[in-house]
Amino acid sequence: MTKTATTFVSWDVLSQLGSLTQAQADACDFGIVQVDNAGKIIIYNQWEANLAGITVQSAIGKSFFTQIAPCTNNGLFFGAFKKGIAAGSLDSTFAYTFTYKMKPTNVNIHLLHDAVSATNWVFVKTA
Amino acid sequence: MADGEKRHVWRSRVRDRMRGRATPLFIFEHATIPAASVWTGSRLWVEYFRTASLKPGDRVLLAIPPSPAWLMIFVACLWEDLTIVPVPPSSSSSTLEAMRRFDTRLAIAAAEGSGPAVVSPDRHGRPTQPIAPREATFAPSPETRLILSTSGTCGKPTYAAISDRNLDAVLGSHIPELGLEEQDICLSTLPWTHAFGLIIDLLTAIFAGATVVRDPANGRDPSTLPALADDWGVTRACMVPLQAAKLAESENGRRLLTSLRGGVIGGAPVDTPLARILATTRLRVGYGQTEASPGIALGRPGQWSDRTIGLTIGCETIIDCQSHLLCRGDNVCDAVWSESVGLIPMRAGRWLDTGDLVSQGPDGTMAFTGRADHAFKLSNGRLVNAPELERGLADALGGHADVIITTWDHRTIDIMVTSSDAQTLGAVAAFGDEGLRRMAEPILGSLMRHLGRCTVRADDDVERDVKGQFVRPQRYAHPTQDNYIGCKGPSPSFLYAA
Repeated sequence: MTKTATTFVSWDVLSQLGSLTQAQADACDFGIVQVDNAGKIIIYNQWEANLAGITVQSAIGKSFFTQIAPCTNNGLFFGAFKKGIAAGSLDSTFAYTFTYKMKPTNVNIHLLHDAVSATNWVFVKTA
Repeated sequence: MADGEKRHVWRSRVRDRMRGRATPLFIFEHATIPAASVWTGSRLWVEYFRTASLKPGDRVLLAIPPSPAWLMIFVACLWEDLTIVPVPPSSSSSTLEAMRRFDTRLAIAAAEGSGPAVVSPDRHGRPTQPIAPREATFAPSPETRLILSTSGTCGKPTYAAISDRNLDAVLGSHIPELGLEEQDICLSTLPWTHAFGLIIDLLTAIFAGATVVRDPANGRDPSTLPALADDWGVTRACMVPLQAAKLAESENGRRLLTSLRGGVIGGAPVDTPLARILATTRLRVGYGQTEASPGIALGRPGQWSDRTIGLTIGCETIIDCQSHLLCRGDNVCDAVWSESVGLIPMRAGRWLDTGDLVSQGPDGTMAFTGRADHAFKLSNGRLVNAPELERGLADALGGHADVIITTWDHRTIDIMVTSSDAQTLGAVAAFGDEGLRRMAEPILGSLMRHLGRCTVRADDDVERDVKGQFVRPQRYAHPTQDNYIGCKGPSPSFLYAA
């Protein structure tokens, strides 16, 4: 099982989570989604938008777990997010299979709560 | 009912259960896939099958391990009304042999290019390059959704052709009774190529929208299961008695058994020591045969006694005057597969002879008393239920010996006592023939006057048929005969077996 794995997120990104802008996120070659404690999307980067086949603007403000990626609305994914947020210690990595443009695609997921900036992140990279 | 209504019965079910859904969720060692992605993957396979011009009832060999691809292909086959032949993954030569045996048009196997009409999924589970299917010898079997092998533990396996009606009957009776919920996390250890693991375990979990955690060791190493269950918060598990017994040997294993919210133990009789342990759990017994798709009886959670098989579920059962359990209903398979004849339809509404001898308690709960194959008649017409007598004798000998009762001539019965325990062997041998006769007398009763020989020998393993001491004529010669009513092989009938 791959409940824990080394993160694919670069130190550059991890070190500036509190100030990461949409433009900076768009420059990354993996998916970056910032959400609030309820899962509402604050930043949705271009890489993720391209693969998902939706526009950044249409994603912002929506719930990541129930509206944009409803296939994550289960105990493993959204459940882990909620549990981590409640505990204030969200830091979970696992393999998952998203559907991008109607094709199942293996990805690695990193759910992270940055305690310094009090921000929540969903990172996605194709496996 | 119009033809179009009869066909495609799975389409709305799998679409409603999977499209865009986060559950059921499937967790494998190196992949986790929600229903939504199984669904989109299945659409690619549907297109693949259509490109290959497969028609309803064309047979497809599914010879890959449990994986996201396996699920996508399974769902796509349901969608297209193809006949799925799930077999264990094997070498390319075995795959080709299985394609011939089941007359499949395509095979999905790990070793791509290992033969014509063999395709492998890519690492995402998607289909790869188009290939030309092989021409089938026999006609398509559109009413048959699955061809499943019986376990054939001791004899030659037979192949049950399970229809949509058969699947409906078992899922319809079992899902409500099992009480599975979306919140359940099911530990999957049984093979998806056998009726127990596929229908009772996997399909019930899928249609309940539960999470399925697949054991990477495929159930072969029960010592790893407690940690796996802890990792994922497993709430349910189906297993065979041997797995449960191995779990019960360790504290962690017993903790797992007692923590489960539900699950079914099937595939073989459960003896008294294991029944005592299982009575402290919420697990229940399941009994059936592949030819009954496979559910025939189900116990109540935590209700265990020696060799219980539970109460009839979703079908009719009767126990005939010779204690044979017979079963009739929509769960009984509509056809069998023969590699030389193809699909052989069975008479609708027939009674399936399970080949098992059972007794029934006042509340209807049945108990397995033996295998009809292993009972025999003496020439004076006296029926000898050998397994039941064997158990009685083994208990009288302290439970450390195996006892086999056979006949050479149908006039006298022979008792053979074997044990791998030297102390037991020594003690039994010390009784001598007469001592053993005296010990057997309370068990055998009036049969004592037929007693021929008592034999004591050291042996780790006893198999009645291998010993060649008891050869039983088959009652029906060929499954094409009208009175063919099921497997007549010498194997134990608990065809849930892994």
